[in-house]
Amino acid sequence: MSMAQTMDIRRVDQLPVGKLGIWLFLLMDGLSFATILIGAAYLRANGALWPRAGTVLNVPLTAVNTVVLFLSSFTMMLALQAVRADDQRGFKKNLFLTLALGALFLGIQAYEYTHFIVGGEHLKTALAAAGFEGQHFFRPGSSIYAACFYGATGFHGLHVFAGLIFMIYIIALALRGRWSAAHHGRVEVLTLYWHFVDLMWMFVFTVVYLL
Amino acid sequence: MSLTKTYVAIVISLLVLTALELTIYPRVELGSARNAVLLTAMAIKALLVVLVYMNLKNEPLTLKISFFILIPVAAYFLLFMLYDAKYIWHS
Repeated sequence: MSMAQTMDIRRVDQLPVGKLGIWLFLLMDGLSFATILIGAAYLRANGALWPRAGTVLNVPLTAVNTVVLFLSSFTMMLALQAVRADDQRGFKKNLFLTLALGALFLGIQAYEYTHFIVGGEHLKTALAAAGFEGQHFFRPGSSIYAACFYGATGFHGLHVFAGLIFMIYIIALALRGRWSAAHHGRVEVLTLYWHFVDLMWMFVFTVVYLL
Repeated sequence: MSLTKTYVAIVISLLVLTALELTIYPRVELGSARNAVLLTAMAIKALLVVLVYMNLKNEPLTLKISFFILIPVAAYFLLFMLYDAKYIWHS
């Protein structure tokens, strides 16, 4: 019996064991995100220099990135729906779309990081307006604000990266015809994980970029 | 409503709420109302994803409780730490 079949059969409190496992992982992981964001709130309330929203960080670009992530969650749902209906073509198409959108999200984040790490006159002006006079870069060690920004977005970016690796694994097996309406336990696990990544981004985006 | 239509409705709601957030965030003159709107929009978006996309609304009660119990715990820590920060800041 394959692992996927085993996952579909073993149940704890009506839940397939794989699904229960990922839910427990996500609950714990959610607390890790909460720790980072609550820590940032604490440092901010404790007097750390915290510029007004949009002064340093590129909110419009990140809003585009947010839309990209929402769309990837949507295509992930379509992929799950397709595999449940045994529509292999629709499943693979939507999975590839989700992969592309996830990669685009990381690409935009990498672009944003590069802009901050390399620095420049425009960034220097923005930093000066935010109270960080004389700084040319916005790097993790630049300030408490920068550390919180990189801590939250970097931790989230690692989750997106891990999700993409998981997705490539699922796609590789999909190309061999592994998943069907009867056996797709790990696809459900991937779907839950991907929505969790989307969910955590909602918190990071509001708390780090907008508040 | 078919499942696809539900998913489309959710993604549109997420986009509308994000647009609302983007309209509100530069309005610092709104004071604490600005924060309240931003946090409420964030909470609604999170609930939509958890209940519909992650399908928590159809999961066993134990799982629902395990999920929602963490929210007051996180809120307690947040309030406690902010109170502590305020104390240090004023002393």
